[in-house]
Amino acid sequence: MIKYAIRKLILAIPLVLGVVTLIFFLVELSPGSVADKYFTPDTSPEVREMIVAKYRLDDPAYVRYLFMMRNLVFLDFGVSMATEQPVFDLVVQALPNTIILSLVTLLVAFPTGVVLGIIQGVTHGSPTDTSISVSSLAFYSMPGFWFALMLQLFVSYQFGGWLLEQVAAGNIPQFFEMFALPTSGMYNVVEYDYMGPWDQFKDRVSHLILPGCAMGVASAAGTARYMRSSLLEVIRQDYIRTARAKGLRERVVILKHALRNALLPIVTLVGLSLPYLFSGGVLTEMVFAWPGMGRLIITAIYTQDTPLIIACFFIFALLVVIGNLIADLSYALVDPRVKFD
Amino acid sequence: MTAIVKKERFIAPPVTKLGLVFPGIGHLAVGEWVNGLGLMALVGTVSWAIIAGLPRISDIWFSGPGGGIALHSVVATFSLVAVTAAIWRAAYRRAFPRVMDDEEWNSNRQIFLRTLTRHRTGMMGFYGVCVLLTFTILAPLIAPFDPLAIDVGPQLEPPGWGYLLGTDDYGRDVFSRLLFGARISMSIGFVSVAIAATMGTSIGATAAFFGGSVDRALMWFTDLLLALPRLVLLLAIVGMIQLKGAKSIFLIVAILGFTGWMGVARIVRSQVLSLKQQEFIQAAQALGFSSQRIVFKHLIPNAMAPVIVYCSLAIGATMIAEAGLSFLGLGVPPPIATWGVMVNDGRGPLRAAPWIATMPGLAIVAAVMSFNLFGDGLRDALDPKLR
Repeated sequence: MIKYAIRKLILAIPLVLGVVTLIFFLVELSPGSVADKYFTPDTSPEVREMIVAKYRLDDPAYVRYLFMMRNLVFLDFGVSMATEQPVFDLVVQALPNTIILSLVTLLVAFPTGVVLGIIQGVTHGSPTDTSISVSSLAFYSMPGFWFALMLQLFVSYQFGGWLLEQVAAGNIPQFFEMFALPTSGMYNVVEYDYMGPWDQFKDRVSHLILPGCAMGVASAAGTARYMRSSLLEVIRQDYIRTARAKGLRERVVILKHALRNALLPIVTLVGLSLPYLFSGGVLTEMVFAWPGMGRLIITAIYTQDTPLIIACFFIFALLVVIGNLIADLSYALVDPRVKFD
Repeated sequence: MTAIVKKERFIAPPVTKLGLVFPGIGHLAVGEWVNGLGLMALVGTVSWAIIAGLPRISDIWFSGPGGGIALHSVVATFSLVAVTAAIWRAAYRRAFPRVMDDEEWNSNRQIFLRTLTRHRTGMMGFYGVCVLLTFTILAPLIAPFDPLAIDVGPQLEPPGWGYLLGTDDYGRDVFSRLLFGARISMSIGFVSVAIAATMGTSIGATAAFFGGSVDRALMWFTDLLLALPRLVLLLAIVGMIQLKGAKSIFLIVAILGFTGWMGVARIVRSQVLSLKQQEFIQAAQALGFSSQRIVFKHLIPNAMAPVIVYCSLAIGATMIAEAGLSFLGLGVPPPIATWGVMVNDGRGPLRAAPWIATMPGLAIVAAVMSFNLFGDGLRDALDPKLR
């Protein structure tokens, strides 16, 4: 299996390099000179020369391309043009935040989607099925950033505000204060350092809930749709009829015989949806001011920060490759019929 | 061949004649409530346009730039007639169904139409799309105010009778902006999906038909573009071009088209690969037809069904992508209103005036959901296994 994984990774190298090449040439070919943004009209010639030498601005594009490629191999992303910080540090700060958000979303959304899909598959054609179908289609058709805004508005501002008011007025116990979820950010910037470890954890979790919901609802809806059709397909098979004919209880038929086979395509979906979770997170992170890769990439594009842009896209391409690999491997792990070759 | 009349074509014709007076009633009378309510919604839209638009039709006709005739309103007025005619034709067809012989009854086209019209959720999506399109086309007649005019009312007025969906912080009417924004959002969806479908079909068909290194090169490029999630790819291209000053709606349409063709290419490729093995293509090759003729006349028409389904689903996805770009301020340049731009506008006064961001979002959900439902219906109707 390790051999298989390594071979897959080696095959993916041209893909990642291709993506980086594409982005490099997009940056190069876009109108205006890369050098322009470093200089104001009153930059002194000496400083100008130093900057040109530092970023190799007077070299032809292919030389800079080759240098960039060499540096990427050693994970040296250069220095950010906008903030003068090493790009590697910026990425290392942002990546874990995004991964926390995506993984929590994944861990909650997929089981939810699977359970909803099972309920739909079992009650096929009933009002329950229809209502879950319609609502999951609605969430599936919803722009994530708009849902995020609506969560901020209705859950955080209005419901949360109402809760805090009631607690302050003494109508409901202090305990309910924790259900007033914060609007944005990753932790309480003012008080975080003065909290005990347990309170810090609670603070983190409460900041995670709304962004997680905003990202997770769409992916749970998508999973439910897949799960439903997959389960319906399996339920029609002969071995399910056999299991029922043996007199097994319906619960055993569904949970032991049908579910195991219906889950196979869903497992692949987990790996494949990883990059989409990250990209969906771009807008959600913007709305919730979550300091992750999404915000980094957008700031990079706004400030035309070439090294940071290239590093971000490199990471995204890597994530896609890893996601595909996880999909392949997990499929082979859960389905004994698939052999590594 | 003797004409065999199918009884189903004549379900209660006397009842459905009611539909000639008011389209939809006839369908409701025979229990087809989706078709009935859909038609009635269309009639409602058209009547709204007539009641709201006709009294001021001379005003809007002659209020173009420089006092000339305003093209939008001319188009809208003619569309009003066309839409009305189409609705009543549908009602007439239901009241006086055409008699078909067996051959026509069993033709692919008729089977497809029958399956589609019986697909309940698919038809819901279809009527949703129709109503939205009607609103879009008739926007100049329905919209109570100029969408771009500021201070048509007080600022941040909540929804009410004067301003149906309230006003925004510049005193612009949200409902009018929503209607005109629909034009931009929907046309961006349609046009860029058309571009994507054309590109994807030609690339996929070329790859599959010629095979070998052509196939490998084209598919490698397709995989390359698929390696980045679409939004990220869009951000890269749009960001690079726009922040250097080139801002235009046509650019957005083109870029959305150029980043959406990969799915189509894959579908067409796999279709053509399997079609290539079939006898009729081999026969065409044996007859000495040119590659061009085989590809355009035999391969592509037979590969289109899944592409159509994909496109109807892609329109929704494209509208969401456009909304996302506009939300980041990288989409259509102001002052043009699209739904994404409007959600972004509503971010600032979110607490004071929640309707500004809420309403366009609901519109996006309704539109995308209609397209998705219709796409699902199309898939079921076009798939021979599910009929």
